[in-house]
Amino acid sequence: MSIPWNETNAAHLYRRAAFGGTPAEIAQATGQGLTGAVDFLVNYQGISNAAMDQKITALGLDLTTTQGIARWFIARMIYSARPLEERMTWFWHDHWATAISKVQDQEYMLRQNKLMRSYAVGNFAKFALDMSKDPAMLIWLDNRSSVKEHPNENYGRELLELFTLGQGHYSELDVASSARAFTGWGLDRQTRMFIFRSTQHDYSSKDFLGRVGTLDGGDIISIATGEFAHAQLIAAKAFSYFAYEYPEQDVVDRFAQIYLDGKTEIKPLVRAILTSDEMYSSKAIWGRVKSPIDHTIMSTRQLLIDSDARAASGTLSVQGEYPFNPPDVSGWPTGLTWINSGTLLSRMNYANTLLTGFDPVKFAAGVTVTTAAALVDLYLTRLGPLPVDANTRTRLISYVSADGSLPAGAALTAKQRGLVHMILSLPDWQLN
Amino acid sequence: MQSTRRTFLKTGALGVSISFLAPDFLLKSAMGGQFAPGKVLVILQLAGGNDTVNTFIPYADSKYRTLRPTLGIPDAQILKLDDRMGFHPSMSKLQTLYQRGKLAFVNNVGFASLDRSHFRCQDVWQTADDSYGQTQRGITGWLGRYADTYLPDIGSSLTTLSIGSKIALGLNANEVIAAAVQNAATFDVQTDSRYPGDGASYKATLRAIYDSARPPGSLEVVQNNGKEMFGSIDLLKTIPAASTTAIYPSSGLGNGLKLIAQVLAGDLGTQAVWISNGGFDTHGAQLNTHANLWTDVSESLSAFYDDLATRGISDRVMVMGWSEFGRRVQENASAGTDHGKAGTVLLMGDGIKGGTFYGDVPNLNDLDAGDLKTQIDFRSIYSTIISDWYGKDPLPVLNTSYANLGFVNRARPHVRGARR
Repeated sequence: MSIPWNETNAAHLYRRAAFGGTPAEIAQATGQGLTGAVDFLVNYQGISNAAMDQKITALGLDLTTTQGIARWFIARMIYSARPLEERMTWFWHDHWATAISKVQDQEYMLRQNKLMRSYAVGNFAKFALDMSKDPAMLIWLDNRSSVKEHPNENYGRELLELFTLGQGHYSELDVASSARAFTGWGLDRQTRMFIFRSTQHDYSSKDFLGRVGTLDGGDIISIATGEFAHAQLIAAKAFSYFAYEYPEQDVVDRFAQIYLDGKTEIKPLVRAILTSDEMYSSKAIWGRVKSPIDHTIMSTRQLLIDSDARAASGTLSVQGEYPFNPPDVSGWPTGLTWINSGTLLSRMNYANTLLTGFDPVKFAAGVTVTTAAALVDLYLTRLGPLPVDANTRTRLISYVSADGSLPAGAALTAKQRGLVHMILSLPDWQLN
Repeated sequence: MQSTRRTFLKTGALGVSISFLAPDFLLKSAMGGQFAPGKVLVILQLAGGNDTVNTFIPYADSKYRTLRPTLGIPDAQILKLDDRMGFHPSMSKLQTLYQRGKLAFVNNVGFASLDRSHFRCQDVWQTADDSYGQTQRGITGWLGRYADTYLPDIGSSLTTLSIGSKIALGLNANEVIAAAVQNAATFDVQTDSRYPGDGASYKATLRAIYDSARPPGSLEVVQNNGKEMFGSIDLLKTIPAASTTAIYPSSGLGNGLKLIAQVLAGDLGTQAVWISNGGFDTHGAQLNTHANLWTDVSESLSAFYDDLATRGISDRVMVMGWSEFGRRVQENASAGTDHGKAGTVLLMGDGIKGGTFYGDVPNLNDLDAGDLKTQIDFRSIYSTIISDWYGKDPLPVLNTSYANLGFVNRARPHVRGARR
């Protein structure tokens, strides 16, 4: 099946693989064709991020505070010229969910974030080894105090349950072996670096997934990441993130095989998903729910709003998707779990604050509209293209003016601003 | 399940058509557009796996000292309840409530397939279904099923309420959508202050869009939650002020319980409330952490009880506190404890036969791979609450019969309709 390439699909690609496209990005992606647009997103290494760096420097953030590092990450997601890099960094932040609430050290959290970014589309097995030595992770899952006499099972267990294999693919014996294999993997308080304390490492024989020997942490990772169950876990998670949730088993297995064939390289997996038929199927398009991060970042990006990320950090805190502070080691929920009376209100009120910085003239430069209906359609297209039912469209038009004409002057500014606020508050815009 | 009943709902929380649907005793009173009071269950989730052995301490068991050489609470500090069990020293306020007969606890609670996984155990507790797996969706929580089955639609958006930004799985329902409120004072739609003339038109249009019919699917779910939001905005404007006499700690839990007391005193039709408090996953250096957690729980619950009593509604509010599992009896090398199995459930309220505990004193000489053994299935607690507190048949909610633990004070006259 060949995938028709048009503005609708290009905008969809950017909603999923970036954080929504600006009008210029959508136009560019439409012109690049499917594979051109996907390759442009995944092969980002050569793209300069100097403009973003400058913008973030100008914010003068205090990176010793939690709000400071949260706004730093939010600003990157808004302004990066390599949006897929940030999309994948967020993906890994959710996967290796580590929270400042326990780590209590902003520098360690930033360091972990940079590690995740460096592996955004890298090799998972190498990534897992580095994550096992990451200071924030060593604190978060207590491995820094795991010693051979009394192994602490926290990291050894979650590595299997959440990070590599998934529940049902290991036994309690495997958990015990995994924990023993990571004993002595500690954190040096002086250097603030990983340290291997050989006197605290359990060198005796272990039994892990049927393999017996003096296994250490590296062996656990290479055995676990060679399992098909691991490939299925990563493939299903990445596919759900980009295309649609609860993928069919044969679809998962197809992408799991691509991932295993690529020896746990992430980029070929992501590229395969983004160019697949499933990615542009009716099940995928508008088939997910915007998470708070999606709603917050996309609205800012798509409306070309110059943001200092302050209001964004506020709504993300209320809605429970605060950068660097996932609720627990399993990461954030997905789908309709994000939608309730409290989160909807926070989305609407965030949009209201955000739009104080909205400039309709800049946003609609070069476009001329003469009726209320044309104005509504312009914004529905620019913020989607967002399909709404006839009733909703009619009400939006009546909101702009009672007789269908376009208001003038200050009244037009008020209505344009209110219209955008309304679209960001619509049930339809909460989908992705 | 009556699939059409709820489709009437929430045409604005104070709509009038509800009188065709609700029994007389639940109709709103003539005063202030409020609803007649009913029994309320407040669920307090202690997320992360509370270390039961250091909270509800079987201090007379000689193994307590040998398995907890550094974490064991010194005997002199334990708040002793009888010659075998005592509370953690941070729980003096809960001890007082226990002595007054307002508090009870149930030992050795769990289920047969407890597997030390936070996520599966939390899901099982909330769905009351131990076949629960991670790939299922559209799953209902036990209290959500209770609401779907038994709570008549009285037109309140706050029938079931989650405090915070998340609806707990336990309140997930097919029909009764739970509200999520963190702060009542700021719970309203804002519009641009630069264009004050446009606010009314903006709000009216948005409400009309949310009130329009949608075909079933995700959009309809968003829409229904939006209707809840508008309904909650109207209702929360009517709640009484926060207590000035009950002394709540300035914690998330304290603030949440303070809000719950306001909402319940406002008679807004609320019958079930969920509040979650995290941080109980104490794998390392747990002595101080655990003490701080229980200081907060103890002071918050005690203030909540005082607040309810002052408002004259402590007889119709029950609190059930639970955690997804207990922790390993033997401490680990990090001065913490790893994931375990059976745990303890806390019960508070005038409706409890308190000042006692249910289930045997945990036996530290008879462990299940180092963990407390399950003696009481957690669903027998739910069953007892549904039957003796709410006065309903638990079977449609739980699908299986469970033992009645007898902790509800049924001798107390049913005070339906009584006001302070």
